[in-house]
Amino acid sequence: MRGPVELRFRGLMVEKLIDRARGEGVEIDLAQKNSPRETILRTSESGARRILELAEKYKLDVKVTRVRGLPRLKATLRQRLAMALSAAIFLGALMMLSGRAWLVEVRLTGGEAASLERAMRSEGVHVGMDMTSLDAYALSQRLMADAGDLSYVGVSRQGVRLLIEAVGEDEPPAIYDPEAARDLRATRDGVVEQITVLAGVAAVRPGDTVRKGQTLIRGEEKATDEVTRGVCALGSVVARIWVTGEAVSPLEREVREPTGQVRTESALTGPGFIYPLTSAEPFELEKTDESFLPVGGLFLPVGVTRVTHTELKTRIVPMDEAAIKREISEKALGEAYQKQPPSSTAIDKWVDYSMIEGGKIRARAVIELRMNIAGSTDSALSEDE
Amino acid sequence: MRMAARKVPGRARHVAFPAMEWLEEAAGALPRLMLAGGRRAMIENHTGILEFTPSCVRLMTRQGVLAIHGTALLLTQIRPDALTVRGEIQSIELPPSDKEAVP
Repeated sequence: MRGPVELRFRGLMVEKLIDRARGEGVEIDLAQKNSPRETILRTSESGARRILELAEKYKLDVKVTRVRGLPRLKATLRQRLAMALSAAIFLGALMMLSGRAWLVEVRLTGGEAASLERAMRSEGVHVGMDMTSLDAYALSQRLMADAGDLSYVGVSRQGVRLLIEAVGEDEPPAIYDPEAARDLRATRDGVVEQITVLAGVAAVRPGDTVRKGQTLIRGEEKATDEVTRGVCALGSVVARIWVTGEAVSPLEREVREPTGQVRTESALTGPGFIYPLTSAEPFELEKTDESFLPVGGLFLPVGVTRVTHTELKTRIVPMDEAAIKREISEKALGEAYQKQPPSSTAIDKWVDYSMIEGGKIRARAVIELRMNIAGSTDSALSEDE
Repeated sequence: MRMAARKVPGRARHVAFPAMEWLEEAAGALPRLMLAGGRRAMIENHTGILEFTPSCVRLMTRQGVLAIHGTALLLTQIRPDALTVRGEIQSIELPPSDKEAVP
């Protein structure tokens, strides 16, 4: 470890000074000769004091050239007491303020924000709250108990930020009366792939095409050979269903081109009057350009208004078919995806193109899905609609 | 021990009492030098600095003068009975072994 005080000795026989200092128990960390008459000594603060005393005693030229580390800091603080005081106050304030929550962030998934806010208010969670003795786990448990409709609450402290993550309760499963008789019907058109009957009797077989509303599982069972009683049908019917989307686009577009025929008319115009100078008949299909040429100078708003009629003709131009197909297929698929029920799984998709009246092309996108289409009339077990 | 050294010559003392050498070393009467890679030499049990220049450091020991020659020499960790010489050490002159100890 290098000493924090650097001394410069000027003169001959530094060896004697070092020996004297050594004899008095001074530990010198470094002695380096810069020139035959100048030596740098590096020692501790107390060692430097002893060496300076020796130098004064023996009339030697020794001076402090550099002070580093703690002695320098102490000297600086002694010189600048106000700065030290304000630094201490600042550090104290910083420590005090850093123990508080200056940002309360709430991340709520599902559930009601109002109940969580009410719980936070009742537990005293607010901006500026003291976090020095915060028990995050206990607070999360209390918040969950107060809110009532949350399945998870997590509280974590991140510096001066208090993060509260909450998840709402899952919806309870549908309640149905197992004694009340009911049928399961198709919620959509489709082709049946698989039937699982938990209660009741299957009314369709795999491979059957069913229409929306058709009974899939009848809510009945045989009590005896002759008596049949109604039950609450339970089960699932997985079927292939299809959703479609369409998009139409013309294959040609109209382009207007000038024929080269131009007619010009002009009029002298001013504030409140128009005096025609030349006239021209407009074309059946034309483009007009108007220009104004001032003739009265800056202070007299009089000028010649000139209107140029340019004759146009219409030409039909074929469009890039591949680009059109790409565009309308994307549109059609987008429309079809919007119709996809959330509980379904896509298993295939395709796009057909056909020419329709008016020189237009139509894309029809079909997405094949697989889903459970069994639903009760009172929608107790239905997943869709 | 100093009294014994005055009464009996060094060579005779070592011949007569081989264990004395170990005792002297343990008592700190013999200089000890540890050299590390030609860049650093630590000397213990010296009695004073006779000369200190960037090319030569001469130290007094109880057995005589120990000289270290080299370039850019400087002294570090100067303690009451030990110091370290750092720099490009080229040669070390040890005091003659049969020389009488110098107080």
